[in-house]
Amino acid sequence: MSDHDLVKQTFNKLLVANRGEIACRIIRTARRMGVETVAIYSEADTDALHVRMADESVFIGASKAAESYLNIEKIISAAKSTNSGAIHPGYGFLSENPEFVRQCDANKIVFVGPSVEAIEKMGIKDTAKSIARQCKIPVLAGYEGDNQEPDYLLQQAEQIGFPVMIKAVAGGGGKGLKIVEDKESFFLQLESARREAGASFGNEKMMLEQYLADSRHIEIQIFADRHDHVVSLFERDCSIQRRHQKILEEAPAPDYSTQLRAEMGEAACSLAKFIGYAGAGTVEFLVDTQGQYFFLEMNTRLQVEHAITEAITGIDLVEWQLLVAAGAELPLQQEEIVMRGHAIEARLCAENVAADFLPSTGTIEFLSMPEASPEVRIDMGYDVGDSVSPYYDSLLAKLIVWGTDRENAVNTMRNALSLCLIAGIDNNANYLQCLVSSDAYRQAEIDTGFVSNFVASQQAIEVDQSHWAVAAVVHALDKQNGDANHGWRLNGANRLRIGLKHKEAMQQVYLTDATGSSNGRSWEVSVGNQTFVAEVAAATPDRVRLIADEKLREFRIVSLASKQLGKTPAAIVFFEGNIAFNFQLADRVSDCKSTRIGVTGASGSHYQAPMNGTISAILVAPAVEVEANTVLMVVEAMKMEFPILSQHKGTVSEFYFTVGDSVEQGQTLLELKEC
Amino acid sequence: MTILESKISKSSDAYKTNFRALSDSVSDLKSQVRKIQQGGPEKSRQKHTAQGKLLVRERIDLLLDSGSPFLELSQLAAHGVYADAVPAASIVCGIGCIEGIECMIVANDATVKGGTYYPLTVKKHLRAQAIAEKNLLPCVYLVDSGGANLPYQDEVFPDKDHFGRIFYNQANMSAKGIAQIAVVMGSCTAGGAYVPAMADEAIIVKEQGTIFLAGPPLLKAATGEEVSAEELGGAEVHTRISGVADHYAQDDAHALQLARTAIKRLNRPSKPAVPRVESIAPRYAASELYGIVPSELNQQYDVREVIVRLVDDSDFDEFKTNFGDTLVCGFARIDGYSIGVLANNGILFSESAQKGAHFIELCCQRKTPLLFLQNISGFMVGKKYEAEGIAKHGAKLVTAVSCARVPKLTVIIGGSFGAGNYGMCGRAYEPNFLWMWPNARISVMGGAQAANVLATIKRTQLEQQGKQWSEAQENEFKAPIREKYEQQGHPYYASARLWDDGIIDPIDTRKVLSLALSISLNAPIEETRFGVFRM
Repeated sequence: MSDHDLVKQTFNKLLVANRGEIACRIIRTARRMGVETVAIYSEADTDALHVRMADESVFIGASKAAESYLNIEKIISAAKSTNSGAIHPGYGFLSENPEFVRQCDANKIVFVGPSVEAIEKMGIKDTAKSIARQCKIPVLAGYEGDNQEPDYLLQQAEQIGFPVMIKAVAGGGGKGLKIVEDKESFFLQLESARREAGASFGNEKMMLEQYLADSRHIEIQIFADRHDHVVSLFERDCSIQRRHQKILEEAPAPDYSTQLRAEMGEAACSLAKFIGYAGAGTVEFLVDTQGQYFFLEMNTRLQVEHAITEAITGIDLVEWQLLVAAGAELPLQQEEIVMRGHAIEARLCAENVAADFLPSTGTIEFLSMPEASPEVRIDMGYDVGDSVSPYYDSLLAKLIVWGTDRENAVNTMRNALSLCLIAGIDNNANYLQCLVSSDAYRQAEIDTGFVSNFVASQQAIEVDQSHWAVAAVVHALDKQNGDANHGWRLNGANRLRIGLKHKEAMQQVYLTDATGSSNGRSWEVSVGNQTFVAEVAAATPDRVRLIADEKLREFRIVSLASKQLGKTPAAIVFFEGNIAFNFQLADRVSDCKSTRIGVTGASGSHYQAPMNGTISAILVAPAVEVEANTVLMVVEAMKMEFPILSQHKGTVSEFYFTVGDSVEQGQTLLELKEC
Repeated sequence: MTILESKISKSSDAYKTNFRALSDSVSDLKSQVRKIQQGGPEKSRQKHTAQGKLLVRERIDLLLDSGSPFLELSQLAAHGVYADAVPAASIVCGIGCIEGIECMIVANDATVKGGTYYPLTVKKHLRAQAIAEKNLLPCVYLVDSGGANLPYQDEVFPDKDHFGRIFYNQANMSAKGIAQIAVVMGSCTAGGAYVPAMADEAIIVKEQGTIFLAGPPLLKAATGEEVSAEELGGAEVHTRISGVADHYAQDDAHALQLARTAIKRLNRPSKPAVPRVESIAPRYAASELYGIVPSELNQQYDVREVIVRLVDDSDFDEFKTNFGDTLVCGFARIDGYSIGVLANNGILFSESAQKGAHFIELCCQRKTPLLFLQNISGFMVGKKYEAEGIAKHGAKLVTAVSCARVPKLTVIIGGSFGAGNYGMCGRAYEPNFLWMWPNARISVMGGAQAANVLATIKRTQLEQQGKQWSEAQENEFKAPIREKYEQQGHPYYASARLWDDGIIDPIDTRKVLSLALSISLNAPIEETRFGVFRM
């Protein structure tokens, strides 16, 4: 009997207890192996890609993860009602939840992952650390005790020395993890970490750990079966992180000695053996500038970045997971596993880079990705027209490239990123492209501080007058097709005034028709005190060419998903390179709102929600004087917290929301009066 | 439906000659308009903008809806009339959409002679108001004017259709529910002060708009009181203390936004519904009109070649094709709106006049708007025609035109001479709008005819005195007469004096008519009651 038959015999149907790209990716392998798949979905995901891909799907509850993807009871009953013999948890959600595994066991459903015991040992960071010590693996200095008194923790932190890390013992994915630079912000950060951990993991216990700046984050992918085999599938370098979440990973790690590879691989395998591990696991280490490594934690699940390991080893890790879950032996011995070439993964996320990587929500109005090839793999979680809700992770897609060496891989990645066109939601495609194009990255000068150093040197994408001009042209093209009298003037060229908004800014753009007998259309565009010539050639109706000071720039017009559905798009969208620009029509011709004498229309003391989310805390009382930089309110979205800080000394005259309320980006949260 | 077929030859010499002549006239018109639209001299414009004020056309751009067309009126007003150049008679008037409502915009151009009122400024302002009143268009006045131009006070102040009539119109339009909104964006002195004061709602821009009956210089002269313009009649005074203005605006853009909001809040009933079908473009290119219209007025051509390029799908159902064929009458649509067309195709005879009167009766009964395409040298003359009563037949047409209460649109596409002008709804017959093509001419009779008439009288006088008059002498006598008629009959001369609402490019005729129909249909079409037709 072949291994695939064994899998089919053991569980002919697999329920994927996850969503987004990982659910899609698991379904693909399962299908290839002849295993039927069942998707589960929440209200927000009714039409999601993973639901469309699976053979069957089961609705499991409201949009909030706690009521759907984290609801053990509903997932188990979905598995039972569909006769699913196994559950693959993906990553995140319930993938490292011992209770979930216990329920699977109790219901005779195969859990694709390690045992309850292994998860419990490694899942709790403080326990894991002591096991690592037992295995003689170096660990960072820290505090892992039961005394959770804030004052006591501070005392411990001072002993370890600042900067120090506060880590939720049950944490992962950067949630409940804070770096505290100094004593003053310790309590605030501790509070925040606890709230995040409570919301995400239901466990507020914290540990402290020495913070190692300039270090590299290198992790070892191990794989174990239930027949005492453990192998290492080598390392991944995941040093490039933002908000403690990885965004660019590569394998193998650059400038990494064979000796260190062997040492760390052995350490990882010994740890897995020690706890009787089975399945895919990742042992994470920090490596300092001297090449000394420290155990960080072990993830008892498939990692987001597993695909780069697949790219260099040629192994399908999900296939191996299913084989191991079915009780098969690992298909390959350590000696048979070789790595070839270099792979890089970039995580395309729905986020606003300029606003400190704030997650972004909305509808994907346009999506164009590079073509898949042996060198380029795209793991998508969304399709055009899908909406990205605030309830889950911001990962849109993973871009995985392979090259014969690092330089080739970097070039392929840079090129592939330039072809990622996403509109409707803010995303980091251009930012990633800048990262991989930077000299530092090309020369592999990477460590965990890379992003913050890079951000400092990187200019934010700036909207200049040309973009306003192009937005007006895009709108005019759209309108002019339907109305012959649009902007008509007697005995003169047609003239259009188009009022546009971009974020808070508003401007009027004037187009004067300059179309002669030439093929296509042209306008003279004036905005502010600048004038451009804009052209749309008949042969390339999706390109706007803008000429100013004898320089030519080209922009791409795209057809938006909402327009294709016959709806009026909320925005005017176009691309310059892979950067999407979004403008709205302004329905007013002036920003001034007040006709009161002496009021200039500024709303300086109104605080607005930075994004869609939920009010998770209100930290000051109305009418009580607060200092500048006080946290007034906390907005939670995508399991991250965003504090609303006072810009100046004052008193809150009114809170417009209470804890638990949902707020939309831009809604006024509170008013702070100067005193 | 009857699709007309065009029978022109685009390769003929005549077509080419005509084309060149008319396209030259159109380019000249456009270049004149371009110059006029710049407004006052460079220095005045700079001074104006340095104060943070927008130029008059920028104001209108902001006031109108994005993408709204703007049907400007009397662009050539005062062109070449006064010793100084007074572009557009220092006032821009026209119709455009605000919050989807067609409105009359009357905007002073302070860069032209301080926006003061010349006699033709008054005439243009009153004409805009008359159009607004007839078509029930809300009025927005963008006020920035020093008031009456004092050297011309005798032609500006005392008579019925002088300055005072502006306020009379405001009061009476307001009484009819036609909104009067004033935006004070600069001076608003003396008589001008009544524009905001008489308005339904008035907006004033801070540190920029002023309203007072007597400005600081006059005040100092009269009472010795010394006070700044702002203290005397600025935005704060009028919105906080006097209540002369209602809304305090931070700047021009804010003021225009407030005016837009005021229009939005009119709670105006929607336009009366009229049957309208989908618009279909004519089957022939409008640009061919250049080649069709003869370069000389005395050349005859088939006016159906014009009609076929104006009406939807070139579909024209003619009435009484075989009777009185020098006046072509028929039903068609323009941009989906029904219209009855009367177009000259030669001299008016008794039959043509009777047919025209009959056709107008039909259109009035059916509430179909009328379009007059004028190209008329007059009614036929001679013993035979007088005897058959051409005067009474002509009178029937004039009666019908005078009394018709459907919207009337007139385009002078060629000559407009003598009583032909009356029968074909000239200015005196109050068409809702009247335009001229650049090739058109208007006068009591043609220049050559006038010269001949005067020469004949002169020759008779000389011969009675027993004097000789050589042919050379006669030609010398006739030349200046012809020249004077040519100059005074020219569309620029006519338009400068507001004998029309503007000169239009023949290519734009269909667009202009479509806008005009849409505008005219703001007012419900009344029942027509005709006067006594002499039978």
